Amino acid sequence: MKQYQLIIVGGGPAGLMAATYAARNQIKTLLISDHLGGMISLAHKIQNFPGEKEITGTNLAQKMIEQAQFWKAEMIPSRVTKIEEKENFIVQTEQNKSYQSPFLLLALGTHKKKMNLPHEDEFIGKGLSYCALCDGHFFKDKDVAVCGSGDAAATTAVYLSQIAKTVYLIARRDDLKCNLSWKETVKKSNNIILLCNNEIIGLTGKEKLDGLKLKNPYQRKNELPLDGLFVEIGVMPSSLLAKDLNLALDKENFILINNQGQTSRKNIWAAGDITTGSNKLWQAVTACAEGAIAAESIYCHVKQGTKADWPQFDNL
Amino acid sequence: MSENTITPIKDEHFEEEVLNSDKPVLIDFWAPWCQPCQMMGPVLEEIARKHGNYIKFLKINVSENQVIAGELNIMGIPTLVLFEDGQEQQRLVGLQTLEQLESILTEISKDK
Repeated sequence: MKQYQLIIVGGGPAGLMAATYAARNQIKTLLISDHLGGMISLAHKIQNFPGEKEITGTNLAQKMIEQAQFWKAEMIPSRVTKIEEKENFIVQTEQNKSYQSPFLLLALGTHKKKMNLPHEDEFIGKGLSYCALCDGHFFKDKDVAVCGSGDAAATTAVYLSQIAKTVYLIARRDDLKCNLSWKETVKKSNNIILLCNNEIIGLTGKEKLDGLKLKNPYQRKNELPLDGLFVEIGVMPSSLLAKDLNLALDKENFILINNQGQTSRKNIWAAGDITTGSNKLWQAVTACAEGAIAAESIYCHVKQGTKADWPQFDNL
Repeated sequence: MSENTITPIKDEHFEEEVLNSDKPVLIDFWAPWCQPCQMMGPVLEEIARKHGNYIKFLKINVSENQVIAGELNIMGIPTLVLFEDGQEQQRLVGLQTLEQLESILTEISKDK
């Protein structure tokens, strides 16, 4: 079994930045991720990452991957299925390969929330999508809706407005809760129709999605015919492995960490959107910072060895 | 055409490679801009190496080939479609894990 000093599980900004910091400190680092680049790679445009006026998520993710590789962090594109603690942590991938290390960093990120409406799963790939960058292309000159009110919903609507004929942006709140610059762009667009104080309560269609049922009428009707729906109503932590490891989590299943990224379990750190560390800001820049902080703490422990003191969970 | 790999095809090869195939065919509809498609790549490669002797693995890049994707009403990627005897048997939309694909293809292998 191949031995490393550090295994990072998760390949978004937190995991990649931690890999860069660790590898620059000559820690033999392996990063395992089934989604190198992470959630940020699905973002249409990023306008608030340091040094980048505007960059696509794919390009930013690619730069971070290349940066970590430049410093000789190893990467395996795979899903981790199991983590066991023996003398070391044994990390197993879905290809049934195992790797071990005395220190572990979890940077598992989040995944998108579903609406939990009847028939939601049946319409996936038949008009309903959680990834505009992947599927927007299928809706050229068609009518689509975006469900949500945050940054992800606003940027998705802006992206789709360049492809689709009409984009309905449906928000439960009385206004968008996104960054003001995105709000301006949405309001200036001539093919985004903002429906605030409204809610999708049903999906219609047989072979494919052909419309929505709205809680409140739009143009006197509660049914809104359309070709596609993109769901951007927020994220949930990908905390399955953290639960298996019995890490302390908050009520919403985000991993509790201290200001060094340490979790409740000895020699396991966590960083990025899976943690409580960013005050739920969930930005690429906060994930990078958490990755760097955790990697620095890991470096201190690598020098001291696995028996070094670990803070009590009560003090977290 | 070599066995045990995922062969890219164009719209115009669909009839010959899929509808007229004497083996079951699994087609991966993907695009270069689609991150989940990239994520599924290594998993599909592994599956193709293992099951390539009785299933033909093909992929269609929908950014360059939109006719067949349109005819099959594909509106999201990645989508995997399984054909047997020229008929669609199964469709899997979104990212699939190795375990999910293994269990489906192992079922098919029992009939072969």
